[in-house]
Amino acid sequence: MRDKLIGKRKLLVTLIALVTFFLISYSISRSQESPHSAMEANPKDEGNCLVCHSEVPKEGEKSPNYLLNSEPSQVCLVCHSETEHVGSNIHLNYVNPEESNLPGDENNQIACFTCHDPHPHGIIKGRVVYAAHLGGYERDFIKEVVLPKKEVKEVSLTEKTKVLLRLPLEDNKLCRACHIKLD
Amino acid sequence: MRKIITCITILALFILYGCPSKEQGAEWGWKYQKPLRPQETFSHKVHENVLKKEGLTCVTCHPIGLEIEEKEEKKRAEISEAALFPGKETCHFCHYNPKAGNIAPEKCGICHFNLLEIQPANHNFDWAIKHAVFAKTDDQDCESCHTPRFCEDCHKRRDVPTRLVHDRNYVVVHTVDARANPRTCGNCHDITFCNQCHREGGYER
Repeated sequence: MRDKLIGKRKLLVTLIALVTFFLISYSISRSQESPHSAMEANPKDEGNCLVCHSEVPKEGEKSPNYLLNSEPSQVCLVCHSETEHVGSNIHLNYVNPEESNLPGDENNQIACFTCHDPHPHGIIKGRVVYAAHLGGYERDFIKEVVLPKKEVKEVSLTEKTKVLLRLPLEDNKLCRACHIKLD
Repeated sequence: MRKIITCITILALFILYGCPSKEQGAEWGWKYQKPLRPQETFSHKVHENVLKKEGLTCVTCHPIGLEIEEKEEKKRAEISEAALFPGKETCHFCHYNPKAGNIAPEKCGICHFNLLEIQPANHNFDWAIKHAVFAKTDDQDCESCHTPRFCEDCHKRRDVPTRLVHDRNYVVVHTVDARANPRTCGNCHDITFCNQCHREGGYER
């Protein structure tokens, strides 16, 4: 009888330990997970919204600061670097042209979210996001011709496709939203 | 008095034209103008149709989507800027491509104001005389920079008023040189060149 009780206790302790372990590991993995992909995996989890927003925005609700936890110009930089990808830092200091119809930061300057939509497809009703696919020829051209400049010759540059763009790169639609006039 | 005026004039000219300016770049000294960078001379408008036809988008020359693997922030910023703007290699791919051949007009002068700066080292003193040997050995080497038309402009055209290799009436008097020293013709012409006119002992042209 006593042995059985000890066995049950051991089982209970093991179970509690296992549950605690899984909870901790889940919370750690969740904290390391990108909120963008977390939104995609679990669209109804409002906790993901609060990573960037001070409150969960209602559908169609608009605010000058987009209800963000920090200044719009800074909110992406909490996790990302200004030099996240080639050319990002160069774009960040420019004024967002009115004709672009893309969102700007609090100073109407270009922010990360001018080109990128932080919300994956399906999170905001009616909003479409695009990937950045390079064609085979384009990829070869960049690798063989554009990058072998002396400044970037020895640096590894990798392509990332799932980048949540507001407009497609095809037909230069995203670039031409701001670069309207050709010089 | 005249000497003083001359000295002042020379000095003024030297100051005006002889000193390096910031635009020219001090490292280039006073002699040559620094070639323009592609972003200063490239016209997107001029290239719009051809790039569209070739299926090249903005991000082909400005590869903005690439991730930088360098860790240090300062270096990342430098790489970001360097990779965003294409270098001369990108222009040369279409406009000066000795290996694959040019697919766009060769207009070196758009960036290289002074073509002397891109001339090979052997194009110096007496090159007009010496070039024949090199041209005969490897005419494709010449064509890596010059079009065949460049040679023809000197050697074959007779519709320009300037004196090229021979005087314009040389066809009449060349017989004297040819008989005196036929080798001189051979410096530039091969044996079949004479035969093109002088066939079977006759004068068909």
